[in-house]
Amino acid sequence: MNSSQKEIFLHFKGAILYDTIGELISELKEKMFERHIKQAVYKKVLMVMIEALENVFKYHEHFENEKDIVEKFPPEILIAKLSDSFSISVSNPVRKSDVATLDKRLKEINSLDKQGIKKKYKEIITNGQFSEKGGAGLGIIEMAKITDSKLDFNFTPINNTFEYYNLGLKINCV
Amino acid sequence: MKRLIVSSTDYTPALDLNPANLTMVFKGVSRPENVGLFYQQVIDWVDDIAAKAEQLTTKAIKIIFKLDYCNSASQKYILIFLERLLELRNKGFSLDVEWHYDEGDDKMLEDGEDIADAVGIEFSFHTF
Repeated sequence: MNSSQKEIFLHFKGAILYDTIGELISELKEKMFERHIKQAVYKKVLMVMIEALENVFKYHEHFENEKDIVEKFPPEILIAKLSDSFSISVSNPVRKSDVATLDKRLKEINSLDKQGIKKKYKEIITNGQFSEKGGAGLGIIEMAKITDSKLDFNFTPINNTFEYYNLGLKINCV
Repeated sequence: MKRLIVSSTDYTPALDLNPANLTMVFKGVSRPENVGLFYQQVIDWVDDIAAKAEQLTTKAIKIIFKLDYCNSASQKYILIFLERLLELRNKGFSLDVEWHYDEGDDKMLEDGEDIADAVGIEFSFHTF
């Protein structure tokens, strides 16, 4: 396999419900087992997937009155194996009003080195704060701890209210 | 003081919190749908133990984590649970935390190291 070739391990497009995450965990586990992927690599890919999808799930609980936007621009996850790494790409619609905060957060985390990320993790895990939906505020930092790349992200305008957010990460197979 | 025994599910760990020998075991996976609700029973149990600390015959607390994976919100609750136990350590109890992980699972090892560092308790690490 050369570096331009990739093997799709998991691809899902649609609303992310709590049980959907469980189903995708089973699917990924099966595929990883079948392809004899090392435990260390599998667990990193798995945890990035869980954190990313739980973020999508919690965020979309606020979309009760705007189901059409999720139908037209559904969340999507793609996990692929490249020659020496895994790429994980997660997309979902976000409110335009949330983009600035999210963008700032992602840029701040990307500006940190591994030590800085650990320090930030410690700061957030010890602050005792939880969101209304039980979010710990650790999802993005947890993904940053795991990934072997910077967080690759972008926002594409959908309409006056929504943008489509994409987050990409890489995990090395060594 | 009751023993708290909870069976594992596809999303939540098995719990066995025993006041008789002060051994607390967490086993399985942890990504509860309502993480606050799930871990509140653990925090309440520890608060009950702390309130009756003088009635306890043993002063040695043992915590055993045998987790396959643990999401970030669960990590935050585990930290709160351990912080509560630190208060008991300040009252003369000893604290022994065992973190078990599957051999080769660097992620779970790192999670244990990071939680230990954040809470300021030394864990002992063991492979399955």
